[in-house]
Parts: sequence; structure tokens; C-alpha cells
Amino acid sequence: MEDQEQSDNTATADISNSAAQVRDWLTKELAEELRIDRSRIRADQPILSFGIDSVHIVSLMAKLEDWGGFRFSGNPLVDHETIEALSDYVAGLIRK
Amino acid sequence: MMPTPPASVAEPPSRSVDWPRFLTVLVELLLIATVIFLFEIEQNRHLFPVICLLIAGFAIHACLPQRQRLTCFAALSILCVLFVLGLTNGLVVLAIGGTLIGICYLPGPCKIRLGLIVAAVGVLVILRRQSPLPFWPVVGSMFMFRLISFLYECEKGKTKPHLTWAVSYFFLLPNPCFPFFPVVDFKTFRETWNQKEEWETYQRGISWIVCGLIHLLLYRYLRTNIVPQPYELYDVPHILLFMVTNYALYLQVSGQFHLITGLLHLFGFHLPRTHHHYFLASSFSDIWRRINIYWKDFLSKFVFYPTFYALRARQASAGFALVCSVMLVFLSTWMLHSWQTFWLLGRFPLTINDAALWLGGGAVVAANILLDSRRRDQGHSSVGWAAFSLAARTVGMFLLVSLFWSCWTKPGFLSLLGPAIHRPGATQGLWVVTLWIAAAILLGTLLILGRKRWFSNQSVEIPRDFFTSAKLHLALLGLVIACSLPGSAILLTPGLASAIAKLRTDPATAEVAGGRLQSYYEDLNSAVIQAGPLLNALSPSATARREQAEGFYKVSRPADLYQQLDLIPGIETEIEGKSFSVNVFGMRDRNSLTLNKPHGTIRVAMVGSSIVMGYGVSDDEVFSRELQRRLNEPQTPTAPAVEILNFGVGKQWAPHRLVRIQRKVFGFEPDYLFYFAHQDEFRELASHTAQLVAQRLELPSRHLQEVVARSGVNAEMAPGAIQSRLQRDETELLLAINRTIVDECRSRGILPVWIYLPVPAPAIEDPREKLVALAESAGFVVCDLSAWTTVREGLFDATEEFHPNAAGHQRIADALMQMLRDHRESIPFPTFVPLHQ
Repeated sequence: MEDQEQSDNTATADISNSAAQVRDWLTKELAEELRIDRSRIRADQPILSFGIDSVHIVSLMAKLEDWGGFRFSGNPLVDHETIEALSDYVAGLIRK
Repeated sequence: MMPTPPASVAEPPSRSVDWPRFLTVLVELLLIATVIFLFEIEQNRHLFPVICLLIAGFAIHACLPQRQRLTCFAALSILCVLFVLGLTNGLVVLAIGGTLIGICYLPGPCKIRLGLIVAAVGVLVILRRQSPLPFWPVVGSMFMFRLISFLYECEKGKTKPHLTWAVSYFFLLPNPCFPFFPVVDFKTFRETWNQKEEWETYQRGISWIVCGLIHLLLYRYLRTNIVPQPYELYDVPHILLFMVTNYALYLQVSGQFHLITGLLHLFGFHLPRTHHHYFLASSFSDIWRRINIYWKDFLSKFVFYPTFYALRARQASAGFALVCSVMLVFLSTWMLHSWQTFWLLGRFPLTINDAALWLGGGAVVAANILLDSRRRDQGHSSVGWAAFSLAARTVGMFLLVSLFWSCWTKPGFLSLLGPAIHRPGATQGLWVVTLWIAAAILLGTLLILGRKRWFSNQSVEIPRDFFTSAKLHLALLGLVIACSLPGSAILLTPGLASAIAKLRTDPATAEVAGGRLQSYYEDLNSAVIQAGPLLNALSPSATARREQAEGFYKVSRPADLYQQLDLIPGIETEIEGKSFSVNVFGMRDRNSLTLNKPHGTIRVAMVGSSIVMGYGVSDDEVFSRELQRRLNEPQTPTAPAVEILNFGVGKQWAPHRLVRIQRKVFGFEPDYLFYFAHQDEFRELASHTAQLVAQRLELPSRHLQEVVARSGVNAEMAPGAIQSRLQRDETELLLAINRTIVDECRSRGILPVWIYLPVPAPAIEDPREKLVALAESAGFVVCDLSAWTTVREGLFDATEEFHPNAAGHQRIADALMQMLRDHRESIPFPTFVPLHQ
């Protein structure tokens, strides 16, 4: 039981760490793409609200897929609009 | 923000209307309605009465508690359907729509609903094909795309939206007026409702409506005054002007879309913009972001993203997935345009030209995007160079899109370029075009630098509060209304007053008939709104008015002061049971006629009156057609083909014919000009010239200017006095016109032939000798066909005083054949003219 709890806690920590890493990666890439300072990108702001167009968005998502070693099954931004939400989702995919 | 379900939110205990803001918005709307009325904006869409209805609806809606507003909007949308289409057609639309909506709400598995929808749409497609009834464009417009968006959101969501949302969304006002409608996404529609403070939303809506009106008026101005006519596309500057102005006609679409989304703002929908400075796009992806944004979002949501991620899920590389997605978007755009055309116009066009353009365009865009994604922007070393680069890219993109647009809307456009480059003066034309482009880039660079400098010293956007915006709108609308009132003409310069008066009517779009003459979007916009009896009584459409016109007025439209009237290009109708059709060049001639003369062809341009035009006979019975047929009868194998071009127009006399020759005839490169004169050749000489002098318009020839100068008239005199004095110089005026025609023909290597063709009418004085002398003096080759007939019997119908019947036209053709035989030396015609008929 304790082992199970410890395993779950480790998994949660792994996912949290992954989410943090994903968030960090996304913020860095977006800042580079938009040529703005990282501090101006908020994790709770919808990604599309930064004015990035559809072509650049999918290129960014493709890079994220390659970086994380997974594939999205559909457009992830439909249900995960912000950097924070997307990071959590991607972290879960990486975990799987 | 989640939409507020109707009737489920607790209302604040008391809510009062903000009367100052409410009245301000109301006044703004009333001024907007006045502008729409005065300028007859979208009159064939019955916009004015509908705007009045919507203003009343807004007044009620704004006073209602929040929880009742969506229901009010839904009810107003349904009322709009019935008001525009009438009870019968309106109820059919509601019934069809209600059935489709009902299927979406059926319980059970999603596949069943989808299957039923597909089946229902299939039935509707068959019915649409078989019975072209007037409500189909409205049904199609409401459901052809919105059904996809609605079903997607329904299936994605845990619960279905309240029925009020479905009714509001599908029967969206003012859709019944505008079958060509922005593709509003259902999720966006819900999420933007009550998103912002209501007065901010209303004022933004007013801004967009005003913007839409400006676009529509600009469109009208361009259409009427700037876009070259088809017969003018014979040199490079005109072709370039056509290219850019043809693209600029897209202002009609952006104007309508601004108007539509602005009206929706009045009911709380804080929708995103549909267009964003699309003429300023500097790259392919930039144009995609700026033009018809709702369409872009629709295709991104349902084609681009699903394709990309599906391919990526199959381990495709990002580049490959990107290219395939872009190509599929362009393919979908092509097919969905045809789908849209099917519903709005009843035909499903699938042409090689369209396929090549869209798929070719897709390939170019895909390649560009792929290169862009691999190339990093290095940045520019200087601000000046960056500004120049942006200006050059913007001008280049504008020209590229213009070229694409022209090729799409005018199949065969590229074939104009070759002959234009080979015409005399082409090099000069190319230089002119190069200078225009360079000037545009320079101007763009300066504007970008100026804007950068201005905004580095200011905040980027100065926000306007409600009342500041309102004041701007009121000032602008008030100014427009003031300038257009009859009394204001005395305060404006004559030119400006005349321009405003001209802008107040919409003759060109109302009077251009036939889909092949219009751009793609104008074609879609021609989907007729068959209004119900109530609306028809309030505002009969131009089409209805034309149907009520008789005779020549059915086929003609007003033109400028020089020409005064012209034939309606593309019209196909009947006058007194005889077929009457006009080609794209505004000539009663074949549709297959091209501006550029085919190699090895002889062209004869015939200029004259309604007799030459063939009033009273069918298209094939006009003597010009008969003459062409005879001259092309098989003779020697090497005989060149002969084309007879009919430039005859009724209710026109010598001064109008001179302008027609200068503007239209020469562009067709005729080898001969046959000018037909009758006993009334002196008519309108003084009155027409007097009008031009009184309006300070330039006279169309140096010879005429000399006659007018010698007569001592000027623009300060009363028009009647000018005419009276010029009446004394009628002979000199006619001689001046004849000389101008001869000079301009000879300078182009065209043989000018003057043909006297009198109408047998004993009561009319015959000025034959005088007219023949004037024609000879001017330098024409003169042919007298007085002997073509001396009797009317059998050649003129009893009801017709001046216009020969079919037999009469045959006799005229006989006379012309004889004339060519008798004048072989003075009119050397390379084709063999047989001695016998």
C-alpha cells in the first residue's frame, strides 16, 4: 500500500516535472517565434491570443511532438487553450 | 466565457436603461438608415426596410432584461425571414430549417443523426436542382456551412445547446437579405454573446456598420468610374488597372460582411472582425490571416488542423503534413465555392480554369510556407531597408493576388497580355506601369517610416470611449447626409456635387446583366432576393423596375454626359417577341467576339442608329449579321475571314457616335469603319455640345473646340443661350465631328466610309445633298444608298415608322453587297465579293 502510494506520488511528481518542462519549453519557443521577452508570456493566456497564425502553430506543435516523443490524436488547442493546460496534457501524454 | 442560457440566470433586482447611451445609439442608427436610404445602398437586397425593422428590434432588445434578450433576438430573426421573403416562402424556409434543426436534436447515437442529416441534405440537393424556387439561396446560405459547425459543437459538448441558440444561429438576421453571408462559427457565436459591456459592443457595431457603408460606397465608385470596360483592355496600363480594380471590387464583400457583423453587435454578439486590412498583406500567409477571416477559421478548424494532426499521427514529417494540409485547404476551397454557388445560383461549376488556379495557387502557397518555416528571418540592418522591404512585399503581394483574382474571375485574362504587348505603344505602356509600381513602393515606404516615427512617440492605439466614438460617427454620417441633400449643391463645387449625385444611385451593378460579366463574388451576390409582397411594395428592386420598362429602355442604361446611354452588357431578353442580346462589350453582337482581332481577319466596324442596332428584328436578322454571313461564304481558299462588328445603339446621334468610336471602336482594331447616317443627322448636335460646354467638360475633339470657340459661347452663359447660339453653327459642328472621325481613323490605318441610308418617309425632309457634301469635305469615302428602297411596303411593319423588319434588313444587306461591288477601287476589300447573290 505504501509502495503504491509512493509510486503514485512519484508518478504525480514526474508529471508535474514534465508539465513544468513542457511549460518552460513552450514559453521559450513562443518567445522565440514571436520575438518577445519570455516574461511577457503568461501561462494562463490562450496561445492563439498571441497572434500566432495556424501555420506557425502547427509547426510549433510538431516540434513539441518531436521533442516529447509522442503524437497528438487531434488539435490539442481545442480543449487545452493555454500554455498551462497544454503543458499538463502533454505531460500526461509523455507519461503514457 | 460560457453563454448565458436564457431564462436561467437570476436578474439583478432592478435594471434601468442607460438612456443617454441608448438615445445616442438610436440617433446613430437613424442616421445610418438615412444614408442607406439616400444612397440606395444594397437596394436590391431591400436593406433599408430591413434596417428599419432591425432598429426597432434593437430598441426593444436593449430595454429587455438580459434573460429575455436571446429569445427576442431569435424571434426577430424569424420575423426577418418572414418580412423579407413573405409568408409563403418564409414559412417554407422555417419548415426546412426546423426539420434540419430537429434532426440535430434527436436522441440516440451520433451516427444516426449524421446519417439523417446527410439524407436530408441529399433530398434538398435534388429538390434544389429540380425546382429553382426563390427560397433556396436563403436555405442554402443558412445551412450549407453552419450545419457543419453546429453539429460539431453539439457532438463535442456534453449537452445540446438550448433550442433558442439553434434558432438564433441558423435563422441569423440579416441572412435573408444577404445570401452571401459570413461563415459564423457556432462556438464563437455563443462565446461572444454578452462577452463585453453592452454599450461597448453596440458602439463597436456602429463602427463596423459605418465601415461597411464606406466600403460599399467605395466599391460603387470604383465600379462606376474606375474599372475599365472590357473593350478597353487592349493596352498594358488598362490591363493593369483592370487587375487592381477588379481585386478592389472585393470591397463589396468586405462591406457587406462589416455591415452584417456590425448589425449582430447590436444584439450583444461581440464577434471578431471578418477582414483586417487585406490590401496590406505582405505574404501568402498574411493574406490568409486578413481576408475573409471567418472562412479561414472554418477551413482551419475542419480541414487544416484535422489533416495535419492525422498525418502526424501516422508519423508523417511536419513538412509533408503541412504541404498536404495546405493543398487540401485549397482543394476544399475550390469545392466549397462550387457548393456555395450551387445553393445560391443553382449551378455547380467545375471548370479546368478554376481547378488549375486553386490547385496551382495551393502549390505556390504550400511551397512558400515550407520555405518560410525553414528559413529564419535574419532581421534588417536598417529601419529604412525594413520599410522598403515591407512596402515592396506588400505591393508585390497586392499585384500577385490581383493577378490571381483576374485569372479566376475572367477566364482568358492572360490571353489579353500577348496581343497588348504587340500593339503599338506597348513599350511606353510598360514604362508607365513600371513607374506606377515604383511610385507605389516609394509611397508605401514613406508611409511605413512615417507611421513608425509617429507611433514611437505615441501609444500604439488611442482607445476611444463610447461618446468619443459616437461623436465621430455622428459627425461623419451628418456630413455625408448634408452633402447629399439637394440644397447643399450650391455650397459644393459643381464637380463634387455631380460626383455625390452620381454616387447616390447605383446604375452599374443594377444594370449589368449576366453572370459572366461579373466577378465571382458579384456573381454570388446576384442571387436574387425575391421579396414578399409587402417588401416589394415598399421597395421594388431594379430588376422589377427593368421588367416593367418597355422597348429600348429594357436594354439600355444611363451613361455619362458624353454617351448619355449605353446598352446593358450581357442582357438577353426579348423586345416585342424578338430576341435581343448584348455581349460583354455592350454591343448587340455575338458573345464569341473578342477584343483582339484574330490573325488573318478583316474587321468592319459599323456605327449608327437603332436601325444599325437592329431594333425591331431578332439577333440573327440584323443586316450586319447577314452581311457577315454572305462575305464569309466559301470563296477562294486564301480569302480572309470577315467580321462585322455592330456598334449601333438607339437614341444616339452624331456627337454620341463620335465618343463611341473613340472609346470603344478603335480598341477592336477594325480595318474599315462604316458610319451610317440618316435624315436626322443634324439632331442633338447643338444640345449635346451645349451640355458639355455648360458642365465645363472637355469637348471630344480639337475641331469641335474650334467651332465652339468661334461661336463665342462659354460655361458662364445659361445653357439655353449656349444651345441657341450653337444651333446656328450646326453645319460646322457636324463637319467638325466628321473631320474628327476621319482624322482619327486615318491615323490608325482605318478606312472611314460614310454611308447614307435614308428611311423612306415622305414627310421628312431629305438633306441628302448637304450631308453628302459635308462627308466628302471631311474626307470620308462616301456611299449613297438612297436607292436601297423607295417604298415601305413589305420592308417596314405597319406599327414601325423608322425601323425596317427582317425583309428590310435583308434588303439593306443586298444594298451593302452591291455597294462593295460598285466601290471596289475606293473600298478595296481583299475578300472576293461575288457578282451574283
